[in-house]
Formats: sequence, C-alpha cells, structure tokens
Amino acid sequence: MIMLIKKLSPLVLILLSAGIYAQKTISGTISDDFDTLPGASIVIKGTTKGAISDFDGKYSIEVPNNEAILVFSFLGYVDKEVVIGDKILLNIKLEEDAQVLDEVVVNALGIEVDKKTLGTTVSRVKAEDLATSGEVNIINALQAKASGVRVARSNGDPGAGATIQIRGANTISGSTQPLIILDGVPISNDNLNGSRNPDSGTSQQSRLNDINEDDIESIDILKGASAAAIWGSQAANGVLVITTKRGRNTGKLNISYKTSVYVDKIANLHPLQTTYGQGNDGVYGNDLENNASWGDRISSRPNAQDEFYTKEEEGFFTDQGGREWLLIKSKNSRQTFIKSNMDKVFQEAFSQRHNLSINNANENGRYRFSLAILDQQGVIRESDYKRINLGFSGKYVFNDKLSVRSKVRYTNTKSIRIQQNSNTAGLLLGLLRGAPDFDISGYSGTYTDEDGIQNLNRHRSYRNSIGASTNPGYNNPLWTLYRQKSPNIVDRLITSADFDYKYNKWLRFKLRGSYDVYFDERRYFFPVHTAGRGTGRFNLDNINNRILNFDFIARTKTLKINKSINGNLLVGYNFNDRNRKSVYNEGANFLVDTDAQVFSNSTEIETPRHFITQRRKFRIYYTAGIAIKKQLFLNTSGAMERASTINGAFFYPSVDASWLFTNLKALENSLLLTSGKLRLGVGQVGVEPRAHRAQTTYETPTYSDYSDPLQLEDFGGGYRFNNNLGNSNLKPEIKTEYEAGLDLKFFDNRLSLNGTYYYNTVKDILISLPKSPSTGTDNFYANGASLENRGIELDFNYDIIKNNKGLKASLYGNFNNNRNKVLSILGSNSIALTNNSISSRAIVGYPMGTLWGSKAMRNADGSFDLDENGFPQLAPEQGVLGDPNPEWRGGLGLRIKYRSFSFNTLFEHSQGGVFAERTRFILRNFGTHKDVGHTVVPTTELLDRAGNLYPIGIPVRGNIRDFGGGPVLLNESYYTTIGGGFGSSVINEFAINPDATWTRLSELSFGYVLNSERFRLKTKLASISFTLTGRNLYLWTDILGVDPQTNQTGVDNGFGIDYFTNPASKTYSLTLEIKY
Amino acid sequence: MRTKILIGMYCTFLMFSCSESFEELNRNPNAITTEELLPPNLLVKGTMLANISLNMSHLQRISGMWSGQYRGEIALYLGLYNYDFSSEESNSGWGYLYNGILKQNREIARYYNLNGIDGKGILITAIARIIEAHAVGTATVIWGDIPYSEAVVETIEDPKFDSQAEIYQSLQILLDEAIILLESDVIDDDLSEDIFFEGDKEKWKETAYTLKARYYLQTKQYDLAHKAAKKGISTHENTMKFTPLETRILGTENLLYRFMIGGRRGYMSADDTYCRNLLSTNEGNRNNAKTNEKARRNYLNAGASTGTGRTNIINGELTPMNLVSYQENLLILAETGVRTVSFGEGLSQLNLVRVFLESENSFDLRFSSDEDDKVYQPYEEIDFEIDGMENPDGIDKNRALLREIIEERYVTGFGTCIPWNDLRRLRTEPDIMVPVPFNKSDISIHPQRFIISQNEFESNSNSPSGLSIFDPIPINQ
Repeated sequence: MIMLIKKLSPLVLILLSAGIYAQKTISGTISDDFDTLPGASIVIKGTTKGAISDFDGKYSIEVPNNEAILVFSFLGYVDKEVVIGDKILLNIKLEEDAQVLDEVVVNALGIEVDKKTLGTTVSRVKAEDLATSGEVNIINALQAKASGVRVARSNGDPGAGATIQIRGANTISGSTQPLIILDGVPISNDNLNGSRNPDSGTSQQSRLNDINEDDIESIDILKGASAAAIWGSQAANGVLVITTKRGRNTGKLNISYKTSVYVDKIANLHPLQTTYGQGNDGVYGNDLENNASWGDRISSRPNAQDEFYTKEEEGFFTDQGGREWLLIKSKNSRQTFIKSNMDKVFQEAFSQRHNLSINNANENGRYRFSLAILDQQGVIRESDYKRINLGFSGKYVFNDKLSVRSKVRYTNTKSIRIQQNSNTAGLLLGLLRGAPDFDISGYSGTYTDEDGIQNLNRHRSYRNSIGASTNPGYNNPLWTLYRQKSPNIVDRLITSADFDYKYNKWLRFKLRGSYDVYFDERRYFFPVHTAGRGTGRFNLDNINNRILNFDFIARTKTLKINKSINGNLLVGYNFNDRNRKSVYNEGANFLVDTDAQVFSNSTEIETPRHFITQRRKFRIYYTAGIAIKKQLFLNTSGAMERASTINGAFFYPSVDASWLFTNLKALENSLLLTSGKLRLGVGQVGVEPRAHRAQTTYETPTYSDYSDPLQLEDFGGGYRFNNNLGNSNLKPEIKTEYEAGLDLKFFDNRLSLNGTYYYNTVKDILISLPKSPSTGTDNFYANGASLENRGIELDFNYDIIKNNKGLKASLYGNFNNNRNKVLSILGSNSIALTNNSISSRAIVGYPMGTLWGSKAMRNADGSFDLDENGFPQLAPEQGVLGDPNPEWRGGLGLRIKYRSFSFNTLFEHSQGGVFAERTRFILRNFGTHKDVGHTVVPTTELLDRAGNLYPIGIPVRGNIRDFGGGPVLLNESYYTTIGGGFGSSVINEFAINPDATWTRLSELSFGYVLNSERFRLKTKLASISFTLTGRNLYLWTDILGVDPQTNQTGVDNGFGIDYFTNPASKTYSLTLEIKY
Repeated sequence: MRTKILIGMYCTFLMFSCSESFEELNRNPNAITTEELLPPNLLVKGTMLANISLNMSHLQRISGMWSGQYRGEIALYLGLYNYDFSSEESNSGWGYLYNGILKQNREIARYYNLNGIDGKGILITAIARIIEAHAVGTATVIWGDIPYSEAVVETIEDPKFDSQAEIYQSLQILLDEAIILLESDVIDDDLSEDIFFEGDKEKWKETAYTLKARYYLQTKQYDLAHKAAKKGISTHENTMKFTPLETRILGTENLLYRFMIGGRRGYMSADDTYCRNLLSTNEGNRNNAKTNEKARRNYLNAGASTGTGRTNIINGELTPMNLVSYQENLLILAETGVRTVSFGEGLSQLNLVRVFLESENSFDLRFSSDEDDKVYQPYEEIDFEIDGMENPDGIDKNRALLREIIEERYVTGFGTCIPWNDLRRLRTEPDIMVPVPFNKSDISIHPQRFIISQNEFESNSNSPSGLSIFDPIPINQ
C-alpha cells in the first residue's frame, strides 16, 4: 500500500493542484542532520490528508490555506509541526528521538520494555553490528561488542565452540555460560565433551551457533542479577536474549538474498627450528627412541644424498602414492621439511554462505521464511563445517483479542573435525614434535620387510620412517587428517508457539510453549596402526537433548494510579523440563583392518556407557513496575522456584530503580547534557546443582597410572564404593549482585556514555570438595565455596563527525576490569578446575582460574636455590604460577558512513594476565622449537645441567642464561629434564609467560550499498550491497605461536593454557546482499 | 481478578504437589546407589586390582629407576629418573590404597556386621585383611609415616599420620587375625571372585606368613622374619601373582607391557642398567662356573617392541607379575637364616632358590637357544670362603653369602619394590648392599622415600611437610 501511495502521490497531487485554484502546493526536503529521510509522512493537522516523502526525502503536498499546520513524522524521530504561512518551500530537519530509537530492549521473558525504565544493565547488539564481524557463528560475532562480556573461541577449527563469560566467573565447577533466551524461550547452548576429555579429542561446538545468524534482529545481554532474577537458578551467568527478525509490512513481498565467500588463513603457529636434526646427544637417529630433534647440526652434513639400507637389509615402505621409502643409514642431506610439511597440513580455506529470506506482513499477520546454507572449510585440510538452517515464523491475528505466533527452526550441521590437544593421535602433537629433517608426505602404505613379506596399512612417522613397527609413536599429521575420521552430525529443531489474549482493556494473557531438541552423533574412528590406538578404535557418541518449556503469563498494561504515578504488574508460571540421554560406545581391536565404522569389527567392546540427566522445575514469578512523574522508575521482580535437584523452594528477588534526572526542571534543555539516568539495582540469581548427585553410587573402577589400566569390568565386573560422595542436602548457589550506573548523553546525543559499577558475591557454590584421601573419599559434592566479582563497565559512542553531507563517523568502545576472588572453600584451599600438569584452579584468596603447578626451589630472598651446576631445582611441592585473568579488557571501534559507503573497524585489547605456553615448553623438550635451535659461542666456560663443561669460543647448541649463579648453558640436558617437558616433575613454572597482554584487530569492514532511485527503477530491486570484511586480522602479543585466547580444555572453567591446541584462524570475506 | 486468583492457586498447587515425584526424578538413573548394600564378593575383586596397581604400576617403576633396574628415557620418566619427583606422582597410588582398598574393606566389614557372617564371609574377611596388610605394608615402606589407625573412619576428617613402628605392629596383628580366620573350621575354601587363588585358604595363609616375614625383614627383626617365613609360601604354585587374562584386552594385560608398548612407549627401558649389567658378560657380572644368567638376561630385557601375546619376557602381554612369591620367601629364609641361624641354613635356602631358578617354573625362555643358558648349580660353602668364586675380595664368608643373597634378591626382585627396599634397608651395611650407582652425579644417597600424595597434602592438616625424597623413612634411620 505504502509503495503505491509513494508512487502515485506526486502525480495525484499535481492533478489536484491543477484543478483546485484556491489551494497551494508546499514542497521541500525532509532530512535529519545526517541524510535525507525517504518515507517520512506529512499530514495536515486535523485532517487525514497527507503525503509521504520520496526516495530522496522530497515531498510536496496541497494545502488548503496559509493557516494549515503540517505535521512531519518519521519513525524514530520527534514529530515536528509547522505552520505554513506564506511559504511554498519548506525544508524540514527532524530530530532523532533517542528515547525511541535506542531505548527499547527485550527483557528476560522476551517482552519489549522501555529501556529508560530499567535500573539494570542491558547491552544491546543489533543485527548490523553482528554483520560487520563477518562471522558465521553468533557467539564469535559478539566478541568485543559489549563491556564485561568475554567471548573466546576455543580454536580456529570450523564450527568450534566459544566461551561466553559475563562479569567474570560466577561459579567454580558448574557451567559459566549464560542462559540463552530465544524469542522468550530458553534454548540449549551446550558445549558437551561427550566421552572425550576436554583436553583430548576434537574441539566441540557451542549449540548456540546452530542458530542462523541472519535471522537475528538483536541480542540483549542482561548482565546483572536483577534483570535475570525471574529465571532463578538458571540465570547466575547472565542472560542472552535473542530476538529474531519478523515479517515487515512494506506493502510488498520482501525478498533478500545474501551470499558470502570467505577465505580463512592460519593466524599463528609455533615457530620451529631447522638447524638441528632428529636424534639425541648431537647424533642423528630415527628410531622409535629418537623422539626428539637433539641430533646433528644439519649444516654440518655432507650435503649429499642420504645413504640408505637396501631393501634386503631392512625392508622398505611404499606410501599411499606409490612412492618408496628406504631406511636411512647415514643422513647426508641438508634438506629440511618444516615448510612443506606445514603446507601439507594447512591451507587457505574457502567457504561460502547463502542466505535467503522472504517476508511479508499486513494488519492480519506476518511471516518470515529463511534458508541458510553454510559450507565452511577449515584452515586444517579436510576439516569442515556445513550447516543448513530452515526457519519459519509467523503471526496471525484472529481478532481484536486473540493472536497467535509460532516459530519453527531446523538446523542440520555436519562437520569433519580433527583430533587435537593432549592426544598421540592429535594433529599438532605429531606435527610440532616431528623432526625438521623428516618429510611427512608418505604416511600410510605397505611395509615390505627384508624377506619380502608385505604388511599393509602401516603408518609412517618420524620415528617409524619405513613403517617397520606397528607403533608410530605419534601420528603422522597426514594420518590424522586423512586416515582418522571424527565426523559429527547434529539435527536440531526449535519450535515455539505464543497465544496472546487480551482479556479486557487492561489485562492480557500469554500462553507460551517451546520445545528444543537436538540429536548429536559423534564418531571417532582410528584405523589400525593409529598412535596409541594401534589395534584400531571406534567411538560412537549419541547425545539426545531436549528442553521443554511452558509459560503462562498474565500482565496488565500500564495503569494509571493517580496523576503522576503509573504502574504495571506481571504474574507468571513456568514449567521447565530438561532431559539428556547420552550413550557412549567404544570398540577396539579390529578384526579386519578396514575403514568401516562398525562395532562388529571390534573384538573389544566396552560396555556402553549410558547417561540420563533429567531435571524439572516450576516457578511462579512476578514483575512489577511503578513510574513516578515519568522520571523515577521502580521495578521489582521475584521468582519462587522448586527444582528436582534442590531440596525445598527458593525465592529469587530483585529490585531496581532508575532516575531520569534530566527530566528535572533545572536540567531540562541543558545544552551539554541531553539526557541522564541514574540506575541502581540489586538482585539474586542462582545455579542449580547437578542432577542426580543426591546419592553416593557404586562404580566399576579402572586403575591406571600412566596408561597401564586394570579394568574391573574386564575381570568379570564388580563394584567399589565411589570415591566421590553424593549429598542429599543440596541448595542452589546464590549470587547476590549490586550495581549502580549512569547513562549519559551529551551534546545533542552525539556522545553517549554508560557506566556501571557492580559487585557480586556467590555463596554456597557447588563443588566437589576435596577430602583427605585417607578418609577413603576423595571428593564430596556440596555447597562449599564462595567468591566475589567486582568491576567497572564502560560503553561509549561518540559521533566525531556528523554533517549534513551524509558523513558520519563514530568512535565507540567498551571497557571492563573484572576483579574476581575466591573467598572460601570448605576444608581446602584449592580446587583443580582442570587436570593437567599446569592446572587452572580455584584457590582461596586468588582469582578463579589461577594457574597452579610445579615450581623451582627458592631461597628465602626469592632467588633460585641452585644446584651445584648453577641450575634451578624442582621444588617438592607445587604452588601458584600466576593469574591468567586480565587486568582489564576493552574494545575500540570506528564506524564511518558516507552516503553509500560504510567502514567499520574494531580493536580488542586484553591487558595483563599470565599464559601457560605448554606447547612451547614441551617443544623445547623435543628440541623442535625455535627457542632451542640456537647456536651460541661461550665467552666464559659454561656448565650444562649434567655438569659438562663447555670451553670458550667453541660454538655449541643451546642458550646461555644466568639463574643467579653465573651464566650456564641450557642445552639438551636441561630442556629434556626440568626445563621442558611433561608431567609434574619438570619446573612447569618456566612454561608461564608472565604477560599475556594482547591487542587484536578483530574486525575491519568496507561496505557499499546501491539503492539510488535510478538503480531501483532500473533493476526493480530495493538494494544491492557489497561488504568486504576482515576478521581477526592481526594480533599484537608477546605470546609466541598461539592465540592467547585458545584454550586447551575448550569451553570450560579453566583457561589460559595452550597444549597442542589446533591453531586460530583469520578470515577475509566478501558479502553480496540483494534485496527485493 | 477471580481468574488470576484461580490461576495463582492452580500454579501453587502444581508447584507443591510435585515434590514427591521430584525425588524420584532426581534419583540417579545411571548407577547403583549406596542405599543398597552390595554383597562383599562384588567389592573384593576391585580391592585386588587396586592392590596390583599400587604394587606394580607407576610407583614401582619409579622405584625400579631409582635402583638400577630401569632407565627413564624420555618425557616424564627422564625427569623421574633424574630424581625430579613431584608429590603429584603419589596421587594415584595413594587413592588406590585408601579408597580402592581400605574404604572397600570397611564396607565389606559393615556388610557382615549388619547381615552376619558365614563361611564365605570369613574367607572374604581374611582375604580382605591380607590385601590390606599387603597394601599398607607397601605404602608405609615407600612413604614412611602414613594415616592408618584413623584412616577411613567416618567421623575423622583429618586422619593423623601413624608412626611406621605402629603401622608395622598393626600389620602383624592384622595378618595374625587373618591367619586365625583362615584356620577356622567353618571357612569356605572357594571364591570365584578371587583372581589370585580362587579362595584357596592354604595359599592365602602362606601368603600371610610371607608378608609377615617381609615386614619383619623390613623392620630388621630377622629372627621373627625367619620364623614367619618358615610357614610362608612353600611352592611356586602358591606364589601370589597377577596373571593377565588370556583375553588379551586392554585393561587386563601385564602392566609393564602396556606401559612400555602403549602410549608411553619409549618412556622407559631396561637398557644399560646396573641390573642388566649384572646379567651381562661385562665386568662385575654374575656369571661364574656354576651360573649362567644369559637366559634370565634375555627374559628381563624389557623393551618396547616385543611381548605381544607372550609370557617369555618380563613385560610380555601375558607374563604373570609376582606380588608375593615363593622366591621371595626362600630369599627371606636365606638372608635371615644366615643372620640368625647359621651359614648352612642360609646356603641351603639360597640353593633352593637356585634349584627353582633352573626349573621351568622360574621364567619362560625367551629364545629356545636359551635353554642351555639357564644354569644355577648349587653353591657350596667353599665358594664363599676367602678367594672362593663368590668371595674374590676376601671378606667374611657369612657376609659374602649375605652379599650373594642380597644380589639374588636384587635380580629376582626385578619388577617389584624389593631392590629399592633393600637398597634403603641395607644402606648401613655397604659390604652386602648392591652397589647401585646414582643416576646423577650430585647426590650422595639414593632416594629414600616418595613424597606423600599432593591431594592429601592439600587437604589433611596433619600432613608432614618439608620432607625430601632423600630423607630416610623412620625404620631406616
């Protein structure tokens, strides 16, 4: 309709003006202080007669006389009334109505509320801000967009999950991930490890990334407890409220097609040395025992062909491409293969994405259909992530009273993942530990022994160079890519329906039900001769998760209590039922050396492990708000909850207030301060206990100390009284949060500043409390710890340039300095969050995640207690290694818009904190890291750790360092013992980099949109836009070879540790969007 | 308004009417809970596995590296070999002892307290005591003072550390109790869950006596040790050993096999060790006119590339692992015989060991050609007299005999803690101690203990601190 009016109005008006003599025509241009405003409406006051501005903001209208008043209005702007007088040309400038444009947010129930009435912190991220990131995954696109929200991707694998943490850690062993509300209903953002340890296997996905990012209109991040209290024990980590796009009433069918192509590149990789060859003690060797590159100096080799054993002497290997490899007898070649090996593993990955949406609306209803297809390739060859999204949402208005909305979203993801981390079959383990003078290109094939007997499907690796052994030591990286399979398929369906019923003038009811279900099938297939799984292994995990949610809400419209006081009330009932069934199957010891993924081929089939987790809860909740003189707003909410995991009912209250002090007479019309609001809030939220922890169980133990298991199950079964005790008196963890904030706008809204100070304590934290093992019990699940967070959050936006030529440049940013402290742990001082040689821990008096491990012995004055050769010694007891939490984090961006062009850039900074460079530390042990490829010339006599003396002037491999007892030579004897390597009997303190500060150019985008009238008339399209985006383009940091955001244990409570984690990637993309 | 009230009432009703189903819903659907009391035969096998792991796994391997039996080659084991020991290494073994064994034994006792005891119950109770005595004995000799009298008592959060002397006393009593139970008339003689002896009470009784002898030996009460060993394991068949299952699946194999051939391949070897040297043809080896150690050398040559499906090498996939053996008992008799009875008593017991070594029961031949290289002719008194073949340096003949017995214990004890225990026990008797060299030049004493579990250290305020691995345990001070 509107389109029709737009097209016809000038013509009609001209015709009318010709016919009626007394009238006159007024024309002009409508604009804001930035650009012209097409589609603004012009009405003659007191009549229904009107017009609409055209695509260039121009309008003309017939008016009856000079006394007529024209009302100019446009959505998001303040209406303007003008008396015509004798003018015939009226150029109108409309003022943005800040309170309308930016000030609607969606609360935790999915209901839009006026932001000015809220006393809590809500950060809104709009669709266009998500789009500039060029990310296909929603979570990653949130990175650096709002203060106090930490988003860290586990690694650069396609589809890899990411951690979201709001205002620091709020619990110790439970999930720290926020609750996700999609159009008012809770959905899963699981990051399950399944049968894998978090530090081995493949990196897992975050289920929130199943959502089609193109469907999203906005994401409201409810950081504070008071905004989330109605979700009770699910809301301690904050709430992400996602609102999806709806059908729009434009008078025509809206069709939009968007396509993007991506190029991903590896962002960083550990630097390796190419100076010394495989072997030990300076001698070349390529046996199984020669796991390191402490061999000969490559440049000292004769630079000739290698000398090989004959086929008759030692046999030979025929690789997958038919190439024959012989066993090296004497290494003469100076060739190194680091670069070519890397090139065989990593690639520039090309990905594409297609989005189609069709929508429409009229007064009877609206709908939106969307289809998205994503085909993402990984920077690691063979890895990929493919996603198909199908969505439909619709609303139908039956009559004045009843309307129905329903939404269906289907997602299918398929991905091929690559084994990583602490895992002999992992990619980087074999790649980075491998010798620089070993060519990985032949990885799988036939070993023919000296008698001519063929052994099929052997695995060639740097310690098994002709496949003579069935054990490769570590995987050849190419075996990891091409022979192993770790596919994953997820099918997900999210449906919801809302019935809205207006009972009478002031009361309305809402009935809402939703069902979120997914099936996640993960396979891990290791063919025969895989490192550590030599006889073959096949794992199949089936995870089936569903969330059923039901709300019944009764709410009033804003009721006038007296002349200056308004109020509203909402009462609701919620039923929430969550159920997960996981079945983990494992078969090993294959009968036939085949790639068929079947259990009938396994002779060792582990008893399937079957886990059911069921949780149910009921809540009654209310929210009530009072507004006094449109200036002071007071809100309160509360939820009374009963949950299956908790004994008894718990009440979660909240109160907040906001004062719009610029509505005071004294401050009205202030030139400096456009608007100002003071906020105060306090609220309580919780974390519910894990399900089924009320009782102690029997378990069937496996006793294993360094990979030598004895499994009771295989000895005919039996039980043991669990070393972890259950507890039937579990309470929820309660987080109480106080916050105070100011929202200010200056200079006619050109500068906006939001600041919040928050303080929260979390009490009764649920953890496995360590007990003295000599009590017969190692752990006891109980409410037994407390912690606190405090910090300042700042967000700002400043329009540096905003002129009427269409140029607008804005600087925006955010800042947060969360300070976390563990206040108490019952009966202990420290709890491990991860179980590695360097663990992330909760330690009383320290921030969550503090790194812990073995240290060097020290004297009273803090200096090293050195051994007789001048080297540090291992302290018998472990201790704190450092705090990986940054001192502060922030984002800073610049957005420029000039007519059809747009530009955006965003930097993210993280200041301070430590980082455990365990990969680097262990690569020193293996002699492959660049750190240990140096040759030095002693200027004084030097001792090494073994006590050998190195004379002046003779070049020697190693590094010179002074630990306090004079310079010493760090060489093989140091790096393969205390100075590098595994376990707790090395000085892991030396793996810590004390300054993990980093700055990242996380987004850079240029856009151009074609939507001029000529273009539209010619093409019949609404617009075509192009966007060129760079993502994660540059990283400034002292951390070598790895993105300090990557995390060994994936989406987990521990962080700041790298251990052969797959690398991060940088992305370039080009997007074309066509709108009809 | 009435609607609202009605809805409110309905919701309240829903909320509180469901409390009972909540409990049901939260009941663990994935495991048997301890609300059920399980019969002890389902628990006892687990304690046996825990005991095997405590005695034969990581800590044993470290003890072997510290007593010239193994070499740490790479990674963690290289550091451990060089005496870089962290308390974390003790965590697993510590857990096996307290939860894996003592806690389960208390549950077994609770079951019989509640349900009464029958013939099978008496047998299981006796077995449980012997396993406990075995495990606690190993624990105290490697860690020194440990919690025992207050351990696994429900009301005690921080058990105190008992003195070693007290612990050894308790162990002797515990073993005596087990023996009394085993001598009961009503006891059963059959237990299919018993992976060691299938419930054979006589075998258990002999094991109990050998353990008594072992502990008296450790506390240097040699006369009592001799007396106990007389009733100890009397034949090879009665050796308490872990026999890997013929199924050959992961989790049932020889632990040394799995460690050396699996994911930790290359970590540790038996190359260039003092023990290996003793069996070689190098200087100072054990071969002489009456002895050929070549077959044993091949058998003990634990490596990474052999052993699958075999029993003919110490780390063969199916090779049994001795826990309390006939040989050990004979060697206790031999040593204590020399010390407390006579030269002749000691010599005859040593010769019994040699008879056994030569028999096919002692160890399988690695190669068929080894048959002629398994020679252990009996020694005679003259061999130990000055300038005898076992006394070239002319020491007292009793000491020379003891020296040979200790050396035999050192080789026979391969794969157990015996070599390290002797090294520490006999540090004040250098003339008979096996002169194992240090792995590192800057130390003057062999490691004397492991540091207790880091987990215990963090939680139990009674934990001793400041101890180093070079501080002798109380019984050796």
